[in-house]
Amino acid sequence: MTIFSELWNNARYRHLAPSVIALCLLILVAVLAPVIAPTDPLAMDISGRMASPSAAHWLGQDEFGRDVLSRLLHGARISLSVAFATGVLAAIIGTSAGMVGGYFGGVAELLTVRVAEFMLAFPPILLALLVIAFTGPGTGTLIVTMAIFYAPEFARIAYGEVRSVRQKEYVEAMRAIGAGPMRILRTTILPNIAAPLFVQFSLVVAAAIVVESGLSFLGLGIVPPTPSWGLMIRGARSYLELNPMGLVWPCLALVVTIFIVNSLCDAVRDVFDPRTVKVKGLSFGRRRDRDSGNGTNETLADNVQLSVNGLRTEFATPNGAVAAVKDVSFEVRRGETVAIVGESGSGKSVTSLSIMGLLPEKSAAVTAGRIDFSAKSGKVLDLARIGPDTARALKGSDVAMIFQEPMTSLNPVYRIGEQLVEAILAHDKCSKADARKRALDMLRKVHISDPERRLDQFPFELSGGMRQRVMIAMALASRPKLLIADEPTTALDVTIQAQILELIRELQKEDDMSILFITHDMGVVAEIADRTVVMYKGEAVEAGPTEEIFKAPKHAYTRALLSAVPRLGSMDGQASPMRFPMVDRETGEPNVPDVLASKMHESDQPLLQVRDLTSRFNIRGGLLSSVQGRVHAVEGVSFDLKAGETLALVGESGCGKSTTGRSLLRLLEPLSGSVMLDGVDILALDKAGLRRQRQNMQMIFQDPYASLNPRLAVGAAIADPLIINGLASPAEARQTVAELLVKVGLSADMAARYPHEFSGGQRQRICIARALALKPKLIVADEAVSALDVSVKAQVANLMLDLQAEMGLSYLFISHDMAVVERVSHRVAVMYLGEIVEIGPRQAIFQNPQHPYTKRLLSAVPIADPARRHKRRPIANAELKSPVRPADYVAPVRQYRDVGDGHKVMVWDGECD
Amino acid sequence: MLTYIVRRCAVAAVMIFMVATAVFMILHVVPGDPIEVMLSADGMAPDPATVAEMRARLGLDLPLYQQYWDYLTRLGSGDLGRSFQDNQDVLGNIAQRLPRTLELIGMATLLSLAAGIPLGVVAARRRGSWIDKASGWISSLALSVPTFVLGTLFVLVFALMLRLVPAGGFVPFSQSPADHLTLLLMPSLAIAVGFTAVIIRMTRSTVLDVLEQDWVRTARAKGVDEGKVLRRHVVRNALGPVLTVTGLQMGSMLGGTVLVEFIFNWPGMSGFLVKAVENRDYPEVQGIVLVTASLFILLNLIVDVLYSVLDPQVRKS
Repeated sequence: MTIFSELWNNARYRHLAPSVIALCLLILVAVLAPVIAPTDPLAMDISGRMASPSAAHWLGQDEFGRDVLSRLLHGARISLSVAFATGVLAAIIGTSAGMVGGYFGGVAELLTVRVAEFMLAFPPILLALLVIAFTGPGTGTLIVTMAIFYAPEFARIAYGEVRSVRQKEYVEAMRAIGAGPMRILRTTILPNIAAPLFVQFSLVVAAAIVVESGLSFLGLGIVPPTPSWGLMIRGARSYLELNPMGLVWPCLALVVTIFIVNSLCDAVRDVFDPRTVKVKGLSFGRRRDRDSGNGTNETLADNVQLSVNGLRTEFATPNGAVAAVKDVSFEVRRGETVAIVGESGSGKSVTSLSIMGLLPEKSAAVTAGRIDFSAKSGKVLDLARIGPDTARALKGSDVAMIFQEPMTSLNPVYRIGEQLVEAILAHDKCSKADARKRALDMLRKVHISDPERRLDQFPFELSGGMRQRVMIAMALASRPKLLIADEPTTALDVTIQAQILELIRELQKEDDMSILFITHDMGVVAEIADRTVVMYKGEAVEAGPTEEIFKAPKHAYTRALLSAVPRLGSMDGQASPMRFPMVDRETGEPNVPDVLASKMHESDQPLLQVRDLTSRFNIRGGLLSSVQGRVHAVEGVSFDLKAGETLALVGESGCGKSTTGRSLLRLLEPLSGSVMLDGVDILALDKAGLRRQRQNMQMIFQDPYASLNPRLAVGAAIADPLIINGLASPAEARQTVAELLVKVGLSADMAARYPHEFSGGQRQRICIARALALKPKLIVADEAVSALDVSVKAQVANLMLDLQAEMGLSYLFISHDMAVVERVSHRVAVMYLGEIVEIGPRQAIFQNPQHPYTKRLLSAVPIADPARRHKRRPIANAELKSPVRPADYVAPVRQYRDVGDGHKVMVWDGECD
Repeated sequence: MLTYIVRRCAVAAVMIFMVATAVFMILHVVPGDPIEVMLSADGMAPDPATVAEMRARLGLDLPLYQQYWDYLTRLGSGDLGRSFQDNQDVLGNIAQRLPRTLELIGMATLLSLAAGIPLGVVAARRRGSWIDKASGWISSLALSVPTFVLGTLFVLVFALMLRLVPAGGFVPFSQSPADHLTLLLMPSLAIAVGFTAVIIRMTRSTVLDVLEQDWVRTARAKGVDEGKVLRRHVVRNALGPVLTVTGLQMGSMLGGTVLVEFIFNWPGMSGFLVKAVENRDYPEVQGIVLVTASLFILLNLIVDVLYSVLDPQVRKS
């Protein structure tokens, strides 16, 4: 019942109502046909052949004098029952086959999905005809035949959906708490793939109605004299000229029925499509040329490039207009870099899109304020008021922009050269050959390796860092006066980030260009910005020279933000992890002391001993799908972890840190090595033993949005591990859930809510509670705080530190964020290309790094301290190396040099420089 | 690219082989003797002597592996057997009728793409406008009318009531091109209406997806004019899914023209199949299924290759 009221209260579900009601009426008519039909549909009346409508026969009589209305009503019965029976049968067969194939892969996949794909190679109506050729027509045959031919569609969809849902972290989390595959398929996966299957079901019902009537029409479906719409059309066709209405009625019945089923199908699809949210409150028409482009009366001071005054940008939402940016004002001077910094939802990106004129056309608009810009032509233009033509002429030529996601910001179907040439030709009349020459020059300017070859490559052939260089080349092709950089390094690895920041600085100097830099990262701000604007909830709360903001923040929010920012080097001389100091956002006062009791027992046997752990994946290709190479994701990794200790596993993308974590829990089966947890060899356990042991080790994932099952109340999610492992009765589990929620800083009454009602930080707390339910000794935290906003990140990290102090937990803290790692860990292992290149106490690694890769990594980390901006070492322009090796590669045996106090460094042979 | 095509061809060849085997199996392994089914017209038990004779004629008295081998070698030399009904060469019969069915499918596809893609793009670009709403309603309605219903209504309205065109039939192109095309128009329109609706919907939803992609924003940020953004960065990228759905639709038409050919007396292959099924002419049914399924596989192969032309990532992997 709660489901229905919930559905009704959700406006999006409400628009299912008309088609659901129509379908219910139709089904009612079909069910009640024997009662409501005026006569027996089979009763013939030769005298009344093709009689016109009369009081006794509202729709007239057919060629045998049978009542048309009664036959129509009974036809609905046949049509719908055949169609629904077909749909249900096909759905059951197809979905189970597809789910099993998708989840287990291997032989199961071959037997189910490949067979289904093979069957899809036949046109269904053809197959139906083939079967009927042997069996002869009949209702039962028809249903079974059609079900068999529609089942493969379900199998294909279920397979595809399972493959994508299977990757989701909440499914991995279920495996980590010891749920068996059938349980996962039934309770976790099925509800999440039900929507597309339901859409398919309604499609099949509609298709089955069509095929049934079509076959009956041909005389190969329903056997006369059973009333079927197809047969009625067949009969009427012979007497078209005598009695055209005899054709129209069954046609109409058929069309209306299919239309109702199709509308239901569309409505369901819409409900699950986020794009169809109805918005109200604002109707932003197309922007007209309110200004001729001849400039404003406003004059800007000589050295001012951009002046934003009282900017307000509103978005249309289901609840009316909402201002994402409120009364924001700032200036960017010539040759200056201004950073806009803020957390998610602060309005910083909307500000940049407002300036660039790239707001989504119909759902957002600048509603107040001025954006005065000094163009190349010498005029001052108000960017909030110019028309589309003037704006287009400025974009790319006077103002250019680079974006966060280099992987998706280039069009995948055009070569790099084509996209650069397009940017050049948009503003300059020159020949294609000249444009190509200029494109090549630009690629050289952004120091991309092998620029000639890049011109003819496609975006997917380039790494993220290279693509961002291409984006910069494209943006600067027409020497803009202002570059807007919206989180340009956020998606990149730290060493690549350092290179890109260096490049932007270099190009800025060459062209005396102004930069508006949007970021959430205080470290990057300190590295690059001359002046900084701090945004919070759509407002610019503080603006000033970067050094002043860092040294003496005035606004409470700025103080809170800065205190939560981990600063590399702030832990010099500290042996144990420390909590982040917290400052209240509203008052700006510090409110939590940062003392922490350590529960680590120095002399204890290690809780976890990992030896020579190796995980490789084959890369197949070529004609015969032979092994072309291997990803050596984890190669000979060994380390110890004590009770109550945090070991951080750090490195950049592809270094194998996540694979190591998953291999320990056997979420991935490692190739070789040994993992001893509390004296038990994890890799030697059978399935049941592994399920028991998983209670001792749990995992927290990176993405708080993907790691909770969206269709499960959070209380049930936390209780799951207890119930599945039979450790508590439902009542006991409820009690435990309440305690756990309080323990992670939430309240017990939140158990009944669903994940979408929580913020990212709260969800991560729920994930922690779920991991704690089994009272594990070890928690593998895979980038557990990386996706969170800086202040939330600090809170969740503090929670983890508190829980460790209280419960003596051991953490394997997998992270790319060196500054957070410095704060929370006892020991650190640096991974590079699948191997640990350096491991030791945290202080030793940070203050006395030995391996060249560790040094490179540390020097690339932006430091949130403008005073140290120019003290950095230069960064080599190296690409990240890949752990993909040829198939015949033999991993070398590594030697480690002991630096003392447990600090060990891999002996390197120049490969790492 | 070459590796990719060779791979796809190999897969297609294996599929055709499997189809041939499946057709063989249906005749020989499925319980129930198809010969008896074939001969037992009107519920009368067939004469055992006739059955034996027929079995010998079709080589069904030989061991299974022998029959399978003979079957494959005959297929290999392009021999699909002789019709049980009129003792004509099945392949010859098919070769005569197949081009007419393909012509129908080709015409319907052309009409649908020509109308569907522009309408879909406009509906997406002007999302929420009257033209979007109108095309949405019309395509919903079009999708709800089965082809055979539409065909029958066409006959009623255009041929019998308005007397604009003949009710059906076929004139070879060589005899009278004008009459040929006139007769082609109604059946292909009857097929094209639903097909166009599918293309409109697919184009609209893909274009809406692509419009939200980052690279479209990049193109706008470069100052590329809006028409060019739409042509080069939106429509070009949206063609892939449209191509896929076109392939699927054309494939389903290979069987789906049955009803339209029946209604308009178009002497194509599918109508031929219905007759073969009614007559329980096994060699003919088998031949038609084999040819149609092979065409279907071939069509998928063509779609895959075209797709790789559209998507460089598929081409280069």
